[in-house]
Amino acid sequence: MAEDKPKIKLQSQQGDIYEADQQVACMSTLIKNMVEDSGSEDAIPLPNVKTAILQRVLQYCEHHKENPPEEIAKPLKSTNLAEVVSEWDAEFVNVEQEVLFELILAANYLDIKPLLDLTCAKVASMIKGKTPEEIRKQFNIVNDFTPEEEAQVREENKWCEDA
Amino acid sequence: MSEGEAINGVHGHEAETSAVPKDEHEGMDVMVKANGVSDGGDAAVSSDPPTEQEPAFKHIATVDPMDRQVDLIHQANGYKKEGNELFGSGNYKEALKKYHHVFLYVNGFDGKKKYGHMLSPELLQDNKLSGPEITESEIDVVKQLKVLTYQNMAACHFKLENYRRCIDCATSAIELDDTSVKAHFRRAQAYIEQGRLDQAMDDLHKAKQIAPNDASIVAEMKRCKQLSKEQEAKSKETMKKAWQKMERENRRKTAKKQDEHNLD
Repeated sequence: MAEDKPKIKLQSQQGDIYEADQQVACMSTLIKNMVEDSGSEDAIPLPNVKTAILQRVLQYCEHHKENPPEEIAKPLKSTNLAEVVSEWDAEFVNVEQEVLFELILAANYLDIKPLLDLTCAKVASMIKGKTPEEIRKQFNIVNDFTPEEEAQVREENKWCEDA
Repeated sequence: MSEGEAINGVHGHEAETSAVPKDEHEGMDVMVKANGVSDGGDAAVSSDPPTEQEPAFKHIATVDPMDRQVDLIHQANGYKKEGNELFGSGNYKEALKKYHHVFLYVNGFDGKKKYGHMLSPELLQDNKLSGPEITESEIDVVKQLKVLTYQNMAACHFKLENYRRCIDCATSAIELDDTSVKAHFRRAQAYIEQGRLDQAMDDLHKAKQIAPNDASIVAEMKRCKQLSKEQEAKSKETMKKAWQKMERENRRKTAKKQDEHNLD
């Protein structure tokens, strides 16, 4: 049982230490391998994860510790993420873009595949069905194509827009 | 919970390795303000989305912050060196712990490059996001560091006779650099221990392609071939016995059916 295993201590970039059930912390493959190989007595430093993000990540892992999320079907069948993933998951990534990006980096760093899938699906849902102009606006992307380049790209991708 | 105790317990070990304290919550404040999320420690956790039960994690202490700009690579290198020393003195498990720390420091190093295009370049430029700025040459340095660390971890696992993890680590090294002779060689050795001789031979061939003059590779190939022959002979013997057994059973079944038929 999870309760019998020692708790795992995780230390954020700011030095905040959190204690989590082994089952929760080990949703991170990075941590799982480490605990498996060399025990779990000392706090594990996570210099790439801020406290606020670590809290959210732990919240995600806690929620999913006994019900791993289903694989997200691709391509996304809707731009409304609530129709693609569970309501809780959709709400979990319903955050400011900065937080979303931090979550992506943390999921990548900690190697938590379902969280990486979820956060990337959120980004995909923000892009899906939008025109290039809308996408640029959403993500503050400066259009660095010359009109000629843009015409060429549009021509090359015409088949895709028609479909 | 005794917070003082927890701090001391953790602090004692981490103090030497964690970086100089500096502008603790600088990056965090920017983010927190931008998102309207309160910086209330545990309070922020229960705000959104709602959790239906008591969370299985809790804040237990705060120690010195890790300085994200103070050379993560430098620290990672330090851990690798410590790991190598422990390996040298035969303390493989402790060496593994140090090697794992290398990844805690340099993993996700290229995260911004990998995922940065997904979100606004403005955010990236504003340096609001965690993780240090990185250059191409740093990426190379980190890759090399990771390859060597994985190789050494594979060596530790081999010594500890944990062949599954040895193969994992060697595979990770090969995924980053498929010209790593040591990783191919080590994985081959682990495959041999697991009796997966074909896979071992594949790795040995690859190792030999990269380092044609390495005598130890040739020797290992010879050993692998010999074992292969023995394994084949043994499996032939096993198959023969299995066939004989099946034949005996079939004969018995036929005889039994015959008996039943005769009863009618």
